Amino acid sequence: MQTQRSGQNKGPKYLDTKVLIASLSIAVTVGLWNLFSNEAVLAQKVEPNPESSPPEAPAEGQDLPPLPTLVPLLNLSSVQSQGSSSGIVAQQANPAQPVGLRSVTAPDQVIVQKVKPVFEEGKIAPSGGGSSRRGAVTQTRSSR
Amino acid sequence: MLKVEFRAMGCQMAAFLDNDQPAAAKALRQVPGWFEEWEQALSRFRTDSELNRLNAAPGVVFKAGSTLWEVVKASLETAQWTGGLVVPTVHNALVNAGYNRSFNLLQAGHAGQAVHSRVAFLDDQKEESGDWRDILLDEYRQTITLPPGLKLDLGGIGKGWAAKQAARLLSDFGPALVDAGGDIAVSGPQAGETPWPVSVADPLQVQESLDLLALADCGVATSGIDFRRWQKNGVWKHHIIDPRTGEPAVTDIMSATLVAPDALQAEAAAKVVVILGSQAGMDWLEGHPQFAGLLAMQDGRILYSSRMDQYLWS
Repeated sequence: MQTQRSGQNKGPKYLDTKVLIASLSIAVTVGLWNLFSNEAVLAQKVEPNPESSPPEAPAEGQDLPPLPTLVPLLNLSSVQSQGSSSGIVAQQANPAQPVGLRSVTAPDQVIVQKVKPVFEEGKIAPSGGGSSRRGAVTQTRSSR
Repeated sequence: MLKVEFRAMGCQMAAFLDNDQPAAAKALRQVPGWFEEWEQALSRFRTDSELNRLNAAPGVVFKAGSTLWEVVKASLETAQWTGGLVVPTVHNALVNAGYNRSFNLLQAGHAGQAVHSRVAFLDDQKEESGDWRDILLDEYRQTITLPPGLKLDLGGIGKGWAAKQAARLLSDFGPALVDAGGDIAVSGPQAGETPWPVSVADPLQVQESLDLLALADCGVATSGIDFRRWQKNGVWKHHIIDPRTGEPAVTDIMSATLVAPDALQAEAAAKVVVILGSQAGMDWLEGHPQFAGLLAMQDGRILYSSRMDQYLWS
């Protein structure tokens, strides 16, 4: 028993049409995506200041001071509860106001310090003891 | 080389790292925090310390944190190898002797009447110290059970342990030396295999030195009756308790400096020698080849044990 295949001789032409439609669909999708995304980027783009020079990247291992930290400045509005005898003040954030930034100075580094030079060219030159403690990095003594 | 200095455990602390890299500086910055954490666990002068919570719970199976557990365990091992001469159960003896607050406060109140009246009051409340062998440790659950009436003081052992622990943690970043109020742990030699030069303070003139030591991968500690001393009822007392009498040790030594495999052993061995006195102390030192000692006598003489030569800076 034989099975009859319908449309067997128009197969290649039908396939070409499908490939063409699929390609066009992909191209249109990519094109529209690109168009809209570029507009969003362009809307946020800031014109560069021609007078300012581009910042140089710090050299690796360069000992730079710590950068100040920027933290959001909360814009709070105080609302006194009307008729409240308890005097409780309700505070509410105002979302309509733009969020500003305040500068916070870096913490002082007071703990770690470089040791005063007790070495000469990497070698310790102790006095050999006696009544002097020159050259010693520290001293053992009863607890104090 | 980097150095950090701070106060902790009632003493001046310092840590050194023979490495100038940023990672080493970052590690060194953490050292005061480590000591703060350890002091909070081990201090008997902080009312909310873990040790005081343990002391306030005799007969209770107390689940200890890792620091308290390690130090209590180390203190009992020390009691074992010192033959009971350095024990953690001297808390009541120290309080009975008048050492009932941090030494800074004791010094501050020494000139006034408050300390004396407090000490006189304590005379009526004399407590027994108890036996360290009655303390129960559960290794698996890390619990400590104190018998009724027994309280722990981990002062000296705690400092030795802290110096050793800090030097071990810092050694990942380079050769390290940690000085915990005179108990010193050295992780290894400095760059170029140079030993660390450490001076031995003259107990009568602390700015002067008796000698200079060359140390690497070991510990050194000094114990003495020259500094932590006070008067009670007109009699001078000090903080080195002889567990055999429950009183401050009667000794002819002003201070003993011991070099040992680590700072904890050095701290304990120095106390043993002070308690035993120069004659028996030297005999004990010669019988323990892991130790070397320098003894500053009350009559001004300086005695060296036979193995001390290898640590003297030549």
